[in-house]
Amino acid sequence: MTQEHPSKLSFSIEESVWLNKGQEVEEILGMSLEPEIVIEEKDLHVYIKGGLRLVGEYRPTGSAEVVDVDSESLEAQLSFRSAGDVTISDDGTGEIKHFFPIDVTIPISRIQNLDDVYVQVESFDYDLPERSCIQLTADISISGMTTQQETVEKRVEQEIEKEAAKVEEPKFGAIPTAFSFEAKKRPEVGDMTPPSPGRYPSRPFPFTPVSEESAEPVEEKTPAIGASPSTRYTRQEQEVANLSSNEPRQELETNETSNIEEVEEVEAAVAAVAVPTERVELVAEEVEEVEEETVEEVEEVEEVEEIAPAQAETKINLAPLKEMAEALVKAERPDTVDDEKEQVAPPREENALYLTSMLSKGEEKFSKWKMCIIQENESLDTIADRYDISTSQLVRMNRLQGEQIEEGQILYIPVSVES
Amino acid sequence: MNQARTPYDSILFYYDLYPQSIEDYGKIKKVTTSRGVFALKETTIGAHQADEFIHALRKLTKLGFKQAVPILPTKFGEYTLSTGTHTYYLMPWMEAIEYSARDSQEQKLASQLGTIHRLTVKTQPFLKENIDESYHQLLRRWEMRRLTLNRFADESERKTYMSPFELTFLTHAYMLDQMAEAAKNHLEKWYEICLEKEKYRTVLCHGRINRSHAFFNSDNEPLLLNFERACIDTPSRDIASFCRYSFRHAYWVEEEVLKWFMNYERHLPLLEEEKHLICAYLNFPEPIAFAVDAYVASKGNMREFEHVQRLEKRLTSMRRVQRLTQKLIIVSDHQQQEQQ
Amino acid sequence: MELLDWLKENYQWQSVKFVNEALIETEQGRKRLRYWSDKALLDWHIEWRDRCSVTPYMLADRMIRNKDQEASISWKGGWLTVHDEVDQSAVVSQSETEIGKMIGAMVHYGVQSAVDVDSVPQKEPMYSELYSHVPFLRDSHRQFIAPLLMESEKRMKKAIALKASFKNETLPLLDPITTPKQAKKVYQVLIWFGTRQPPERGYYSLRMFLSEWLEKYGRESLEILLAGMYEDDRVTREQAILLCAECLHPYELDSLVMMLERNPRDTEIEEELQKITKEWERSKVLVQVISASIDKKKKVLTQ
Repeated sequence: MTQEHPSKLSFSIEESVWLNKGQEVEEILGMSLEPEIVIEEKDLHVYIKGGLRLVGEYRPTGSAEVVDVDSESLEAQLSFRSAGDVTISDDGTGEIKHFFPIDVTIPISRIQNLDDVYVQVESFDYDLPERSCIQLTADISISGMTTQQETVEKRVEQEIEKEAAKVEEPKFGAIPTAFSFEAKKRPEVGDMTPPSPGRYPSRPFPFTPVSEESAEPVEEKTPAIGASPSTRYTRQEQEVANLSSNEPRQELETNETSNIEEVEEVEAAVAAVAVPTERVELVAEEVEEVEEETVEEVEEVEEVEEIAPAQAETKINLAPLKEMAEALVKAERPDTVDDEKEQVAPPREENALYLTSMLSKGEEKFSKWKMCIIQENESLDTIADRYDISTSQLVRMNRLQGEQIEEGQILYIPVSVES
Repeated sequence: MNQARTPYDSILFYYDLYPQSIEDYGKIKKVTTSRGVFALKETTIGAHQADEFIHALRKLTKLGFKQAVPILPTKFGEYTLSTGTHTYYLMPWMEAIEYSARDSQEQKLASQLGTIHRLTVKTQPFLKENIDESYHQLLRRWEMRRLTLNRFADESERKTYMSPFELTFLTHAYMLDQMAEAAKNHLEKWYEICLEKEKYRTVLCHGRINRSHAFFNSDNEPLLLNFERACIDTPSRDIASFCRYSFRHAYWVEEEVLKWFMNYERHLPLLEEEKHLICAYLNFPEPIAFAVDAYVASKGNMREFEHVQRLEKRLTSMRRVQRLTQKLIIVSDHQQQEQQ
Repeated sequence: MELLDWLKENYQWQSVKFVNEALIETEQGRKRLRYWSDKALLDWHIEWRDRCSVTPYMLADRMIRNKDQEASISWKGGWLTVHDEVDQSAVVSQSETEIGKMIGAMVHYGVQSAVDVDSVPQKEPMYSELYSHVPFLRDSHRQFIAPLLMESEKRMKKAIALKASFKNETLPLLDPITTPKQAKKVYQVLIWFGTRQPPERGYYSLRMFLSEWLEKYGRESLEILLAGMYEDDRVTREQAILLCAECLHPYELDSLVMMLERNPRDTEIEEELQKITKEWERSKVLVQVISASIDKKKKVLTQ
């Protein structure tokens, strides 16, 4: 991996998507993560807006497991499709849709050429720890910034390699079907013939490319995104971005005034990231409905951002959460420029699980979360004070072993919502 | 295949009988086949009762009783066939032969009844609850009947213009009530003696023995049939039923009836309480109650005249029964004394 | 003693002639002989035949009794039974209700009977073996089979879920009668020709029977037959659901599995796929009709 790239902001998404009862995953058929980004320049800042769209297709274990023999209509429950009728589109395949909004503001001074700014999904993987949970990990980078800092790359590289390694021990093993068998046999996914034509009509195959990617430079001089290694993800060029720029996001500007101490990042680099979460919708057929809900969610997100004053000039809005839950990830940036490497470490897995499981139970009235990256000399007490929360609560929420926290560690801070 | 003959063709298939003709004699169908002539009985008893009846008949056969018309098994070994509504069984066809013996048919039947009862008599272990239950059940039933009769009498009396039926009934109401009272007394006696002896006897009752349920062969000996109502019960019931059906054939002649009892008791001497029970059964004016019920319930079906006629016939019978039973009990008492 | 004499003596026929080695002609009609070497199996077959009938309109091919009212006679170390024989396969389509009742009686008896006779183990669909074949199939075949496999998994899951709902319900022990051809009519009597096979626990063969019935006589006729089966409530709702679960089992692909074992030509596969399409469709209708009949049954009960 090259170190000569001027600057790159990398962050990881690790997210657990919990599925409703009766919609458990039998087998993941395919999954893709596609950036849908608009980059625009305004008032000395570059706004990178939009998000990452996760689209997955899975075969649900389905309602089959919950046949209700006392129901009034067995006929409806037991019917199945005719031989000719079973096709990919209507065979009960579940669709997972999840939008991770991204909202990054970068001072224009950090950008040499707007055309060089790309958002890339550097690696993407998922795991199925259990049938009702899909765990996603992805490394996202925003490139095209100037920086003195170089270690970032290394880190990213490492992570990518890690991901690649993970992928190489085939996940398919756990999902024994003919199709996965197929997939293993043909790693040249990009142009692979789908195992059963019509089955993955135009969907990229998510798995294998990771290794490809790690073999190639993460960023290329060619500005065209399409040419970049991660071809499999549909690159959203500006035109596409314009479409999504309709979404109202003005209030983000308020964030510009925000001003924070944390995250040793290249001045101008990423900082406060207010990340609204989308609801992850399991779409079987009614895709339209889902889209509506998505819009709703986005609106809520906006509120969140108002509530949480972001002070950094540059922000990344990263949203890892799941249905029902919204997370407010706030990586705040110190105004004092600190030329150190970015430290947006991926949250621990348990955290993701914990958050979602807790939220889904509705135990507490938190529906939004901030993510705080621990700085040098910070203690649990100082964090607790700042967010007006007890240390014990922090320990509990983050499942900490004790009160010791380390620099770079990420803590989730619940934001209670009056509702 | 003639549709009208179903279900008989289907039934007869079970016997491998392929009829040339089926003649309808009511409940009996005369079936002529290349293998002989048969009588197919069609009854409304249920499958369970059919089983019991076959069981009773087979038990009798096993005990050496040969005076029953045989029931032929199907080719699969069953003796009856029960559909949802009917039960069928097959017998060889028998033509009635003219009866030519000196002794009456009833005397011979009484003898057979005695034989059956002797073969199957059992002294039941005394269970007071059983006795109590039978006693009270019968008593209650009779009391209800008596009440109904009395009410009918009361209602009739209040009318300015009584119908001929009502008038006839009223004329005999007192006698009927007396008979009901006598029946009750006999029943009480039976109950008392049973309690005292702490035992009672049961036999296999034919249920409806009378001359129409028997064929007399060339030796003038009866072959019994229609065991459909066979059950285990007190011999008194079978005898009372026999008497009630047969008295008229004896023209109410006391000597004839006494002969029946003698013939019967040659096989199975009756106990005192059993005679009381016979008297109880016979004295209770149940036939009158049925006649009144029929009159009240279905005036339209039968003309008043017919109702009256039937009532008068039954009243005459009851009067004669009253007379006969009085003698019967005296005789039996006498016998008892002799035995003692 | 000669067999014919032995039969004459036992069944008290005047004349007996062989038609072929298993058929005899007597003055009481044509009879079929069956030889049994397993007494327990014979007893089971006597018992269910005796117990299941729709008197007088339908009965099994019961064992005709000998002069001593025995259902079988011993012969050469085994046993012989004598049955009625009917030559012509009659039109049974008018007798749905009786046949349904007959099946009902068999199910009822099969659930209750506690006999120690060896039964055929329950069959399981083989479709999952196809997974290993799929990669080697032509695209068009794969396209056809892959979704069917998915749907098969779904059907199987539903079937399992149904069965799981009635874990404590006993499946009936049934004579594996698989085709409506086994019902014949003579003298207004339908005779249900049983087999000599070991009985089967469950509804595998009955499903085949019903499926063939559906193909031959159509949906409406099958509905009448099912209604007959439910009459008298001898077939409980639970049993009906278990029957339905059996019909959900995706056996349609089994024949393909077996075919692929021996490297068939593409045209053969294509023919097979067409056959599967038909069978699959029939199973679909079968499940529909049965589940609808169960729904109807429930409605009647809850009224």
